[in-house]
Amino acid sequence: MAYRKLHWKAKAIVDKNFREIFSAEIISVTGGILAGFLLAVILDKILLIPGIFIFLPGFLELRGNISGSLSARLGTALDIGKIKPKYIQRFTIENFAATFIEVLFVALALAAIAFLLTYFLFGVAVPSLFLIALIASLVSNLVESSLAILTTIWLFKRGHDPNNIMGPYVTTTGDIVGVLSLMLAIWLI
Amino acid sequence: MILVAASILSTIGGIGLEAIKQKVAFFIPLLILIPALNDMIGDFGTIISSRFTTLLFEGKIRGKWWKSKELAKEFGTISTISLFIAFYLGMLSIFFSLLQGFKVNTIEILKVVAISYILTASLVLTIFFVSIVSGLFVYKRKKDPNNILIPLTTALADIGSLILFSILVWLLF
Repeated sequence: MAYRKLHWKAKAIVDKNFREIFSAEIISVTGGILAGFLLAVILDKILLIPGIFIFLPGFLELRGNISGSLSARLGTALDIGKIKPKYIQRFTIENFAATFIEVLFVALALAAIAFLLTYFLFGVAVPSLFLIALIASLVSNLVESSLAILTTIWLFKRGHDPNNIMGPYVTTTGDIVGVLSLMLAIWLI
Repeated sequence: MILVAASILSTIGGIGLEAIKQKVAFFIPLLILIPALNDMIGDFGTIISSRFTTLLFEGKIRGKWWKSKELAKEFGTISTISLFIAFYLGMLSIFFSLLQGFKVNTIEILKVVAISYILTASLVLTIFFVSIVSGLFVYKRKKDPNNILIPLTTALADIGSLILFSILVWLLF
């Protein structure tokens, strides 16, 4: 009797909403852990750059926001029939180009804030933060925005609603691509 | 503008991380946790805000929100999920740090899981409270709560998760 009560209580909690939120979150946070693992791999290089921990959260947040809004715009345009599901067309090219302007502007603003905070709070001037921000933002945007466009249109062509899937997808890939781009930028500097 | 503001707010949280950089560097599972915790709390901010707004528009929440069965169910669902995911995060960060050859003892594993749980529970509760108070305030003024709640809770999640994480690491390690 007690087991039956527990079974029905559990069934009431683990409904469709629970399963959808749970599965999306598992995917999203697993990607975050993988990104954290990659950070641990380059830890010795990160520690050589003061202020990088101030820059990092904003940079990863930026990646998710840019790709998320790009895939949302594409998804909506596909849903309402504004565009056809073609990979190369004026709408996708214009939006792809626009993301570069957005990401460069914000990444350099973040680098400026990290530079100023590091200088005034910790007494260290780190001009290389700007170069790291520039390289990491360009590389990550090239990869991540391409992935966002290709995946959104691919999902739509197969009859799925990209708006239901792209959220956790761009969060996961954004973190991993962001950290990999940062790795490349630090290695080049 | 919102994009710039959201990213800048995360940078403020990064000040806390920079201050505890040496402790995080010394204990790898903490570093592995950072992006995932930040993502998770941000996601819950969006989920709680949008679901609360939906309940408002459906008329399922009136003046006495604490008597709403639907709100209680939402709270139960999201709290349960967040606590499962917090445990999953803690254990996965330990697993990946072991893959890197980093050794941990039982006390350290408990500390990592405790940080994950305390941070998740505190912020999910705070976000729920902020969503209810702000959402009702905005709704009564005939505005769409989504426009205010989502940026507000996302900003709270971003700054809150990193600063609370920094405080917990400073206290426990």
